[in-house]
Amino acid sequence: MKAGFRQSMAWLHTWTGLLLGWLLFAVFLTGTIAYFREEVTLWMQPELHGSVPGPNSAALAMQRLADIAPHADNWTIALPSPRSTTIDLLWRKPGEEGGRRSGERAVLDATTGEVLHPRETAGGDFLYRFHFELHGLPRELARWIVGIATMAMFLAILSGVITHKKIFKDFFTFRPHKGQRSWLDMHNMTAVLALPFHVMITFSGLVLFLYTLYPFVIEAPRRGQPPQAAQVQPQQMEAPPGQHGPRMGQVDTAPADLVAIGPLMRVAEERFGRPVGRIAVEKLQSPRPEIVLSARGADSLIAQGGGGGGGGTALRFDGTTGALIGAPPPRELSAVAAVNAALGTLHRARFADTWLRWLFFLSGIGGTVMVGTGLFLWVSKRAAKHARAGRTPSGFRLVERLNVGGVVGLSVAIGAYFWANRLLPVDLTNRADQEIRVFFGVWALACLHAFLRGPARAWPEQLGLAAILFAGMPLLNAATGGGDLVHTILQGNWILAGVDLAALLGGLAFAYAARATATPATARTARPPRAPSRPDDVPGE
Amino acid sequence: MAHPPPEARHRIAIAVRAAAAILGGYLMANLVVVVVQRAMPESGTDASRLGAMLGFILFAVVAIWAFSARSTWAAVTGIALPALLLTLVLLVLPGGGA
Repeated sequence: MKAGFRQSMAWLHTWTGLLLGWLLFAVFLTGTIAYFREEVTLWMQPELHGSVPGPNSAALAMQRLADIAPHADNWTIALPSPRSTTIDLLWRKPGEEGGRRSGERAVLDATTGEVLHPRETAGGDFLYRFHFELHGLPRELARWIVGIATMAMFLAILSGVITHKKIFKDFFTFRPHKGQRSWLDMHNMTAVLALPFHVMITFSGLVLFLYTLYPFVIEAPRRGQPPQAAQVQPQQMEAPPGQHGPRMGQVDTAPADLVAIGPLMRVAEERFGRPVGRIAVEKLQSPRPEIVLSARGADSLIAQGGGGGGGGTALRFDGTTGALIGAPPPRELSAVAAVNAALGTLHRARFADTWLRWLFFLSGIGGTVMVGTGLFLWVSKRAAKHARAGRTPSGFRLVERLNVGGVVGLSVAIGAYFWANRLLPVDLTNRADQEIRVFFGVWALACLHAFLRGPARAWPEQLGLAAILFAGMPLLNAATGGGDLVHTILQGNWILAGVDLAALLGGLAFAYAARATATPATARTARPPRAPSRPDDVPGE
Repeated sequence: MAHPPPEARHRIAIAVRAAAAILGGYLMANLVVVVVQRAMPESGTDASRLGAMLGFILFAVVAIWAFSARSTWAAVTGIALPALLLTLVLLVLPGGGA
């Protein structure tokens, strides 16, 4: 161990970062893409790309449900939003349990009301799930692994800040094309630029794992029952006088005549001050069905997720008369619960509109680059020394190759995942699983390639492949039945255009990196020893 | 590093500090949860959540201490003593001693 607090923190920063760096990189990258998981899923279902939100989505949906599901006990309608262009329907038969996977679903074109048949895809959800539950491992084990990595990240951030005393001065320092110096500057810049984001995302990540990480002293709530559900469920409203709760309905009759939805929507939108996002029709087989309108999105950081339709703000109407029956009681959250809820909401960007979501996305990309450059830094710091000594230890060679597979290989795998989405036959059985298989298969091949070719060759080759895969996504999209980029931009369909453009920009960044690494390989890994570096700002060793 | 210790001794020292950081940190984090739960018996999940958040921070502090203490001995005792203290607090608090 070293003398000096700062040096020992540099040591801690280096080794916590290295040991869990590849996993953290994967978590950061897939988690960042998951900020747009609905948009990504829409991109991955080109059958839905023609749907354009119209003014009468709510009435259209009610009318179609009366045709499709007259015998259901309840209907749920998710209306088009800035993140979705279709109408999503869900209905349950009488007596069916209300779980996440239960009920029947349909997707409608938001203008014509036509039932659409999207392909089966693992979608953005796979990347979202992977970022905290990995894949193919027991759920709790995977959460422990990611939880430990998150704690390592927390430690790496704290020790990194302690190590790095000239935090603001160095932020304005960038020395490109200088090998190790450039990696260090990029690492510092992405770290400092989004430091509040990194601290927030890491600590809130830990808090989201609370029930996993403290199994001995904190009892987890039962599955499917969020801890605060009792406090804000919109169902917890006073029943109007004269009504004796749900009555037993006569099964297999058409729903009682429902009031027109339009006027209720106007009442609710005026009350909410923002659009209605979700319509639920309950007790359809009783003489007095009820309609619950929920506001779109969350209006505050402490809004609860889960059951309350995204924000917990909802109004309940009598379905036959249109009379307002109730509104949810005002939220009463203790300070601790509020902090807890705010952390969860922040982590998921639940409250965020489009611009803030992009800011979070960019911060996430910053975090991804920070972890990646940190991993390269470990290698480039040691490369010169080993070159001087004339031998490279096997541990060093392993890290060098894992860096290629873990950082670029993962990017190639994600690109391949999107391509598989379009190129696998549409009617393939277990199609979603096959997409995931392509993802892991390509990732494994990329790691193998790094070991067979050696890092000097593997770097530009894999970066070039990633560039082609990502930059080619808009073309692939247009060629395989999706809305083409020119069209979606002219239409103002920024959901699809956004995915295409982000992929294109990512591809260009990979192309730039491929070119930079292809030119003299010696400049990157085996630079001649430089003049003594300032020891105080170089973490590690 | 003026006098680098022999490689083996260095490795053992790091292993001991890592164990102190991980085991000690996790023990302390769990202890602080129980202390907060006992101290705020009427708060239910709030106490657990507050304790958990404090526990995460405490884990980080313990780990930083484990790797920055002057000697391996100081690293271990600097964690063991506060842990002992927290345990004593637990026994003193109402509902303790179970």
